[in-house]
Formats: sequence, structure tokens, C-alpha cells
Amino acid sequence: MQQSKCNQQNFDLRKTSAPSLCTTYDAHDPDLLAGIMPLVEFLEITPDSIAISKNGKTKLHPMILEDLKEAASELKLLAHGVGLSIASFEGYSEAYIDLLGQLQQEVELYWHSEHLGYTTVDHENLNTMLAVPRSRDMLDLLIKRICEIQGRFGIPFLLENIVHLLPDYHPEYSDAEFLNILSQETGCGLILDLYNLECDAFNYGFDVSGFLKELNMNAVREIHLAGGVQHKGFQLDIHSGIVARSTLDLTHTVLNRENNIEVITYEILPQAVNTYGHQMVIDELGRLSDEFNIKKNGNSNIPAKYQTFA
Amino acid sequence: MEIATFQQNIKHLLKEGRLTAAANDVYFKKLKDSESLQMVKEIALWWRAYLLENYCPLTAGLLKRDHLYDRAIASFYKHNNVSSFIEEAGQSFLGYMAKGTEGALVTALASFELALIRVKGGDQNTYSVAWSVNPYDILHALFSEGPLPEKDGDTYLTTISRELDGFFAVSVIAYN
Repeated sequence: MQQSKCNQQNFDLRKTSAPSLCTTYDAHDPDLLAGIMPLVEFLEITPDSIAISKNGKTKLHPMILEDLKEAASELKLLAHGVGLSIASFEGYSEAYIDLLGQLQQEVELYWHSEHLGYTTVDHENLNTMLAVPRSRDMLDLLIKRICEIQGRFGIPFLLENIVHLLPDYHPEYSDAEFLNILSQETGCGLILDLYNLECDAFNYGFDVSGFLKELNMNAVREIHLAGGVQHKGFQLDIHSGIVARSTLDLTHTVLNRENNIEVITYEILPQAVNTYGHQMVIDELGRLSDEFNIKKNGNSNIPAKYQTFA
Repeated sequence: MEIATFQQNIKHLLKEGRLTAAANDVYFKKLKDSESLQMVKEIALWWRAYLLENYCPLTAGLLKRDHLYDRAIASFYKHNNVSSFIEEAGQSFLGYMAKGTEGALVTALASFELALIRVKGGDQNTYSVAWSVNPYDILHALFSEGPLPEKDGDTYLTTISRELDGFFAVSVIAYN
């Protein structure tokens, strides 16, 4: 086992049992929680999405926090941020780090993760997330920050590939090579968002097969699945629906390789849940369980109030 | 190109739609008029519009009736460094709309909605907003999606406070 620059041990390839299922929980919605708890082993929480800001102070939504504390008796919790902005030249968001710290004080987190991108420039919010230029300078900046973040929270940290809506700026590395170096030099894990890869393939002909061949699977701990929409000739990364057949097929391709994948996460926006209803999420998790032969390890510990659908 | 310069050039393109003097790289010249940049701008605008509409449905509803909403959102984000937290962004947007750039009715409604959000959130202050149309008729028109009322020449005052039932009261302060 190699030691990274962050004194983290790099992941060795080990064939685990089948991955577990996970889904998004970002709103106070006990009925939804009751419906999904029998189907998943993990919940993905976005600290930024469950935060409220008042008088310049940001804190976690108390009711959602109570939901999570109850759910934590049965499920493992994963924090998945959108506001860290790890690649902003001026530094990453201390406000996000503070929120994550608040969350970690309240509930046990199995690991935490972020997107490999930036959402602010000069501390100004872009209201979108952009992919990073793949240069040695950017690698150096990221490696230093990943080491800091890993040291701060003491749990595994994973980074996720995001869609590239803007063309690459004079890349010095391929996408896979860049991720391989990051994980190798820091010991961080990776989330492989397969729908994002499909968006890139649709939008500008990204070679998904070549990327997957080149990617070091040792560090990939989690897969993200989602459904989205096409708009004005672009496939968009909007978590608004069920997972397409093509994304499921791609998932099988990845799972058929030797891998370390522990979690498959179905991502859906709370706004989409409001539109389509709880049953759509429950049905989709059931479909994914069948598709990937995922069996949840019993439900005897599910709190009584959440056993409605068990 | 340094990371800072690269990201600042991208920010200028997204916010201002123009290149900085430093952006003489052919990459940025091509990007400026590209469909992909337009799509990134559109997605950002869509998200902002969606979130703000949920936070301040009255003001957003009125702006949408006059097809001013997208323009107002774009202007707000162009001229302000807006928080990613909706409570801060929403109140900042209402404050921006209350300045009067979109007309007296939007000014009154945005001021009213901002005050209402504040007192419902625990603010102990009392706020007053003057209107040139009956605020009840405006609220009814927005909720029922009916036609907006005409001015009747009277001047109305809404008082917004935690001490009031429903957090606000309407009075006529000048008759036609």
C-alpha cells in the first residue's frame, strides 16, 4: 500500500461485496424518509442545501437534522457538498467547511465529498459550477487543499467528476490522468458520476470508454446516477428524473471491472420529488436494487415511525 | 495563464458578457460567442429565477406578469455579489426591487414582501409601505391570477408588524 503526500494511505484494489444503495435527502420530508429507508443503506446529505442563513450566520436546518439523527440509527450518512468551491483561486469556502463541521458534530459521517470544480471567483458566486483547467498548477493547488481538508475532518474525502459545459482550456492532462494523479498524490477517493460522463459524451463527444479504461478504479468508492433533460442541443446535469437505460448499462460496465465501489447513489432534487411525488423515488430505488441485485441487510433497526413502507 | 487570471476572465464573461483586457487568448475570444457559454448563463439564470420565485412569490409573480422577471434577475445578479443562501439572496433581491427601477407598484410590493418575510422570521420592527392602489386588490389579483386593479386615486398604507394579526394591516391615508 502506497503512502500519499497527505500521509493518507492510498486505496488498494479489493473486491468488496455488492455495493449498497444510497439516495439524496435534502428536505424535511419524513414521509419520503419512511419510504426510502427500507431500500437504502446510505443517505446523501448536502450540507449547503439543508442550511439556513439568518443574520449573517449559517446553521443546519434543525428539523432536517432531527430526521438525520433518527435515520442514523439505521443508515450511514454521506455528506456531499456543492459549495466548497475547492478550485477557486482565492481559496475554498470556509463557510462550507464550517457547515460540514457543524454536521459532523451532530451526526456520524461515513465520508464526505465535493465536486471537482469552482463556484466562486474573487468570492463572487457564479451560481454555476465549472470544471477546472487540467494543469500542473491546478493539481498543485488542489493537492494542497485536499490534504488540508482530509486532515481537518479525519474521514475519507471523495471528489466527483462534473460536466464540462465549457470547452477545456489547453489541458495538460486527460480527464482520467488528472483524477488518477489527484487520488494517487492525496489518497482521496473518487465519485464517478456516470450520468455526467454521458452528458459530456452527448455535448462534445467525450470518449467515455477511453476515460474508463484509463481511470484507476482503486480510488473510485461511489457511483452517482441521475436522470436529466436535453435543452437546446445540450444534455443537462439536472437531477430531475429516472435513470436512463444507457446509464444503467454503463454502470454494469463499470461494476464488471475490479473495483472498490461501496455505494451507488441515486440523486434527485427535492424540487423533482415535489413534482413527481415520493412513489417515483421509491419505485426508482426498487428498480435500481433489482437492476444491480442490491439487497439491503434487513430492517430490524428502522425506527417504528419509519417502518410504514417496510 | 495563471489560475486567477483564467477564472477572472471566465467570471467577466459570465457576469458582464465581455472580455477583460488580459483575455487575449483565442480560447476566450471563441468562448465569448459560443453556445456553450450561453447555456451556462442560461442554466445559472434558470436556477436563480427558480429559487427566488419560491422565496418571494408575490414580487416574482408581479414581475412575471409584465415579462420583467428574467430581466430583473439578470440585472440583480450582474450588479450584486449575491449569496448562495436563498434567505440572503432573496432578501437582497427584494431590497434591489424596492429601489424603484421597475416602477412604483413593484417597489411597494417588494418592500411589503421583504417586511413580511422579516417580521415572520422574528423581526420586532414595524414597517410601513405606501401604495397607490389597494394592496388587497393587488394580492387578490396575484393569488387568483386575475387582472391587476386600476389606480383609484386613493393612497394606502400597509403596516407590517409581528403585533398584527396576519402580520399586516391596510389603511387609507389619502382619499381621492
